[in-house]
Amino acid sequence: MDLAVEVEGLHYTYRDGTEALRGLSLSIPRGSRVAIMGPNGAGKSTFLLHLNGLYLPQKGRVQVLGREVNARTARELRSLVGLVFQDPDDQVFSPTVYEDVAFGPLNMGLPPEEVAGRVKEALLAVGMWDHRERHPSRLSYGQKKRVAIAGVLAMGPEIIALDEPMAYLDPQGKEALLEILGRLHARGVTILVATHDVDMAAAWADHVIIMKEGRVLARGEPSLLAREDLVREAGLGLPLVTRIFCALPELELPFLPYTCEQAVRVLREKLLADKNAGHAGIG
Amino acid sequence: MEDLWLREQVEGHPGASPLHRMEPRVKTAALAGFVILATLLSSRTSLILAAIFLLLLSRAARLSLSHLVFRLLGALPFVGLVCLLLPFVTPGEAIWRWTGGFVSLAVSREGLDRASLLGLRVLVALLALNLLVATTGAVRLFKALSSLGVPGIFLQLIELTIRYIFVMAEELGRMRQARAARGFVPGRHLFCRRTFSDLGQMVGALFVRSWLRGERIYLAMLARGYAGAPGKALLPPPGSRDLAWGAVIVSIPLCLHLLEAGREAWILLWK
Ligand SMILES: Nc1ncnc2c1ncn2[C@@H]1O[C@H](COP(=O)(O)OP(=O)(O)OP(=O)(O)O)[C@@H](O)[C@H]1O
Ligand SMILES: [Mg+2]
Repeated sequence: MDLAVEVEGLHYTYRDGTEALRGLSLSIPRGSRVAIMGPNGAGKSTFLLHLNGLYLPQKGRVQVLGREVNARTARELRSLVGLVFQDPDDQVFSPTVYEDVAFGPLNMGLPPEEVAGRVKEALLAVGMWDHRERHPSRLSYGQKKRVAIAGVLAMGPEIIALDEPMAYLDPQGKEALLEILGRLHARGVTILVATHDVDMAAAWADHVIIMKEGRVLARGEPSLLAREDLVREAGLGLPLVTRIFCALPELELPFLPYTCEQAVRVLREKLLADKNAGHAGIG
Repeated sequence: MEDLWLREQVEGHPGASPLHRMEPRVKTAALAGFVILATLLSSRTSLILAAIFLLLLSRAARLSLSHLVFRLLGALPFVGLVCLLLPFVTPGEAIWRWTGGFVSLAVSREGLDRASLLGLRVLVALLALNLLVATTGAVRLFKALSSLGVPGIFLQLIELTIRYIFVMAEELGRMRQARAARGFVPGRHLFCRRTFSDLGQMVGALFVRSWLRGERIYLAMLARGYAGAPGKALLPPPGSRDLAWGAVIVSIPLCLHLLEAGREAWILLWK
């Protein structure tokens, strides 16, 4: 299988002695949609910072798109891996929204027409084109988050990692972001999302990685998120849909649904079955 | 509008004025030469003439006057203080004296001369700097500086300072707001005990927070392909027209020097 990211025994200790990663191992296939979950302080953000060599492995190894991450490959990886930081205030710093989104493409040394095209496309995609002249620090938090996302979209990376992208977005903003991620996925971009939002992860991801204390606790299909023991251990909650079906043991389902579509399908089958049973009873 | 900005970033200004179009290295070198020569002038008249020349250039480059005044006012607290103190602390012929109890203050003629010369020199330097920055744009200016041999570390220092000043200002604003939200009312003056200790804490917290945020911002810049200040940029050699303009700019303070020397000779001859 063609891997976008491969991590083996990764350790990372901060200067103050906090061990953020303690032997993290995982692999992510190219073109997949991965949700990285886990309690606060599990090491999600720390891991993401390794993907383009901002942090270098202290122990263990990280391979991204077939390249070993080290001081030599870091530069090259910066334009291949786009990172949207958890706090947009860390990422958005130029005098205007437009300049901020142009920062990455300009660093890539693209010609002006190309930069202009990319910036416009990215700002339109996140719905911030009308705010392009504004000073980022005067924007609302959700707006800043959108600008931060646009800044990375404009670089056209092959892997895009978003740290808590949904936080502070309004429902329409979330929809819009899911749509953008959908489009990127269709183009073959590998997408990693660190999030606490189990509903989003359950509905959107095709791979789920649950982290705890700097290691992988569990990984696999999103159906993991319907396992109560695991979810509890990871400091998460069950998806809303699953919680409803947990409270209905009388349905006697063979598995617990975790997305709306599954729930609808299960309920429809049940209804049809009951109707048929009813007809049979009368007849 | 964005297009213009991008073009300016990448290949230079399309040409709002001859000064905008001038080759950035020649412009930088010429204005630097101008400032060095002009600050060595020793008479008020010639310094004023140098300042007027720069004002005329700014006018020709269609720079906005309000921006200029705003920038000059920004430097006023630093320069103004020194200029205010100089007349009092320089020994010399007193032209005004104030005595109250044990203290006596005197304004000396030498002090006034030194203050006015200093003020004019700073004015000339600021006018030239404003002219350079406003007609060149940050990216081109940094390129020019690096190809003129200014070490990359200095350029990076300047660039990051500019970014972090705003970071600190914003951080301070947020902290103030958070305090006010929890009912903190600053005392009316600095010597109120609570306000003073609070100010100390603020400065400490501001330092730590700006430090941490600064680190994260730097990471975010790297993540988007920032690679430090541009390396020694390869720029095409300047044209003869640029060189001619540069020569004109540098010749002005040279002429003023000649005038000064001539005037001294004239006075000597007269005696
Ligand atoms: N700059 C830092 N210096 C020291 N310790 C840090 C630093 N950043 C993070 N840590 C510590 O490293 C550990 C992992 O932090 P990290 O930010 O990776 O967690 P996270 O999974 O992203 O958490 P969250 O869900 O809250 O975003 C935590 O214990 C945290 O306290
Ligand atoms: Mg985090």
